[in-house]
Amino acid sequence: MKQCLVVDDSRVIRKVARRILEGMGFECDEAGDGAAALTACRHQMPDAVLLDWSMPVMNGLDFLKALRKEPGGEKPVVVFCTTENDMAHITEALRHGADEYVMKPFDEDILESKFADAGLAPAAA
Amino acid sequence: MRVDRAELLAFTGALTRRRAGFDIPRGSGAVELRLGTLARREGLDSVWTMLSSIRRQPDSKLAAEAVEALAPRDTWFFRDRAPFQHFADAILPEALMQAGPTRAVRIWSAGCGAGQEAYSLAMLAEERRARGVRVDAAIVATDLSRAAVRRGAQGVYDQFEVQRGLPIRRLVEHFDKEGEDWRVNSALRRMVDFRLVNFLRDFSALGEFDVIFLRHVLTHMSPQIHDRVLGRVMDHLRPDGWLVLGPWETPGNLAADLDPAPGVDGVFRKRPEARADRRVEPRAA
Repeated sequence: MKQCLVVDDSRVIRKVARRILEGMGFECDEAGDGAAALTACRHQMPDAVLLDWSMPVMNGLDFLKALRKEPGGEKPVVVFCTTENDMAHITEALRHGADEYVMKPFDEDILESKFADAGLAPAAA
Repeated sequence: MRVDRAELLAFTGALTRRRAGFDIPRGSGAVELRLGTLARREGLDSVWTMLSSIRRQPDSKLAAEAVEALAPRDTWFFRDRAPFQHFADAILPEALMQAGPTRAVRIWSAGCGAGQEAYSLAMLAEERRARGVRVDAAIVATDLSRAAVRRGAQGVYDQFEVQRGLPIRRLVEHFDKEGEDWRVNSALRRMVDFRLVNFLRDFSALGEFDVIFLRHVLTHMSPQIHDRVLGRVMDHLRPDGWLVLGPWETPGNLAADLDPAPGVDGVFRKRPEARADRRVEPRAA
């Protein structure tokens, strides 16, 4: 079973995302900020990371930059999931190695479609 | 006044079939959802009151607007993926070769809704061009609904629409942000020409095409109308041209004029010897 780390400082968002991702066949772990996420990745590198941008302690972009420098850190597919929805944020995320980008609010169709675009799940019908 | 919803639904179904060939969505809820805006604009207390009034005046402008509002329109970018991949990898390169240096490859997005299919094809043409290949392609997108054609020509989509089927890199490459919405860039908009077409009326002015995407259209039609519409659409396809249908859509009685493309579902090539006069065309009711 593929592993997905859900990183968001909102417990509600983590819960919603987790339910959808588990429905898509992922085994999920959660982290409340970028630093906690990095610790989780050092312990076990996931196949995918669903990543909020604005979080306390370490934000999503700083986590992504750090992750890509870790041994094996180039492997996880990283999907941003954030309210930052302007072109500047999106291009910066892509430049630093994000694979896909979800703009909140999202729903099940969007998450499935984006994970398929990132090569992670069969396309939604 | 007590209105019989089942009776009004039957009338409405007959109206859309006769006017434009398609069957209405199943269930009164779906019909209410589609017609609600129109009924409110008319100041009527319900969709059923409006349909009663349309039944008394089936040739009114309101009847025509109701038919347009009921037309199938739910679509998204790169819907079903595989046919678009096949278009990029196989159809477009060969069609460009066939067309040669003197004319554009003509592509028809038939039943285009708000234009996502047409712009998906335009993105693929543009991406091929960006690799340094000469790509002379013109896309004609048609729909029954004035609102759909207008939206398509504007090329403005909300955040939900640009996240259905559209990879983020394509959003960045081909769209500009406008307020909270996203607009396809002018290069793509120039490539696509939006026009009003009713499949049951005359559309001979559209001319001949190398590729026709007729997806998620026939599925809304009864078998008899299905063959008639497909036949008329195929009259606009060049010999050796490509017809692309949706999942579970089949060429029915027109299968003899088509060869299925190997390795991909729903893609057909028109046989060079296909002739309109060989076809048995069932008459419309």
